[in-house]
Amino acid sequence: MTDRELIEDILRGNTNTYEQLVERYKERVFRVSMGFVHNNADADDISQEVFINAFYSLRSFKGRSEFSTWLHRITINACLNFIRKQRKLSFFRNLSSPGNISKTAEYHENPYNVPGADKSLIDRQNAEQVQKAIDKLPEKQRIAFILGNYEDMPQKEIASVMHTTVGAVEQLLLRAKNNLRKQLAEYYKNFYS
Amino acid sequence: MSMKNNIPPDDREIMNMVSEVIGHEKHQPVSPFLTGKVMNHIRSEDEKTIIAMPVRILRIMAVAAGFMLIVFLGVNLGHLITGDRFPAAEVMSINDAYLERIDLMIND
Repeated sequence: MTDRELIEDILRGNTNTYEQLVERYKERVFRVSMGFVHNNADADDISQEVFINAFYSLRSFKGRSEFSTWLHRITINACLNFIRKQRKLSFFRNLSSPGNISKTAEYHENPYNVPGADKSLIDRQNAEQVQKAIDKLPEKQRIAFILGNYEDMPQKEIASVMHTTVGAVEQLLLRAKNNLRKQLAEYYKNFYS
Repeated sequence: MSMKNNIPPDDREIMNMVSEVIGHEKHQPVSPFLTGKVMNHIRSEDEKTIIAMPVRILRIMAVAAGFMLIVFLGVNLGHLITGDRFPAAEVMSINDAYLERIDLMIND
C-alpha cells in the first residue's frame, strides 16, 4: 500500500493502519532526531511526539508534497522546539545550581558513553567535539547538513523539505562542511598547543 | 590517527572523524517500543473521546435526578412536619357562615 492509500484508510477511521506508517518511517524520523539531539532517549521521545502530532494533523496533510517530506518538516520543528526548551531549562538549572547536573545525564545518554561500548576516551572526546560543532552551525546549515548526512537525503528532497532551491541547499551544505572543519581545526589547534 | 601522536588532525582526518561520529549515531537502534507507545497513545485518546460523550450525558442525568430527589424529599419532609399543624382539607372547605355562633350560645 502506498503512503497515500494508508492515509486515506486512516482518515476513514481505521486508526490501526497508522501502525504501518510508523513502522515505515520510524527509523528515518529517529535518525534525523539523533542528528539534532545526539542521544537515544531524547531522539526516542521526539520521534514519539512527531508520530503523535502527525497523526492528529493528518487531516491537514493535503498531499501537495510527499508524506515523507511533510513528516520531516514536523520532525525538524519538533527537534528545534526541543532544543529551545532544553536551552531554557539549562539556563534556569544553571541559575539554581552552579554545579552542572545536566552534564551527568548527558553523559549517560550519549551513545558514546554506553557502558561496555569499546570506545576510548579520545573517541568520546572527539565525538563530543563533533556533536558540539554540529550544534553550533547556523540553523539552516544544520538542517541541511543533518538531512544530507544523517538521512542521506538527495539535495532535491532537502530543498523540498526546506522550501528552497537545490542551489541554495548546495551552498548550505558546503558552508556547513567548511564551518565544521574550521571549528574542529581550531579546537584541535588549541588542544595541542 | 595523528592525534594519538599529539599532532593536530588535518582536514581529511577531521572530516573522517565527522563521518565516523555521524555513522555511529546513524546506526543507533530505534526503540522497539516506539510503535507500541505511539499506537497506545492514539488508542487511549480515541477511547477517551468515545467514553467522554456518554459520561457527559450520564453526568447531566445524574445531576437532574439528584435535583428532583432533593425536591421530592423536601416536599415529603415538609408534609411530615407541617401536616399536623394545618387542618384537613374537609375542615378548611367548611363555610363559616353556616356555623353556629358561640357567643349567642353563651347568652342562651
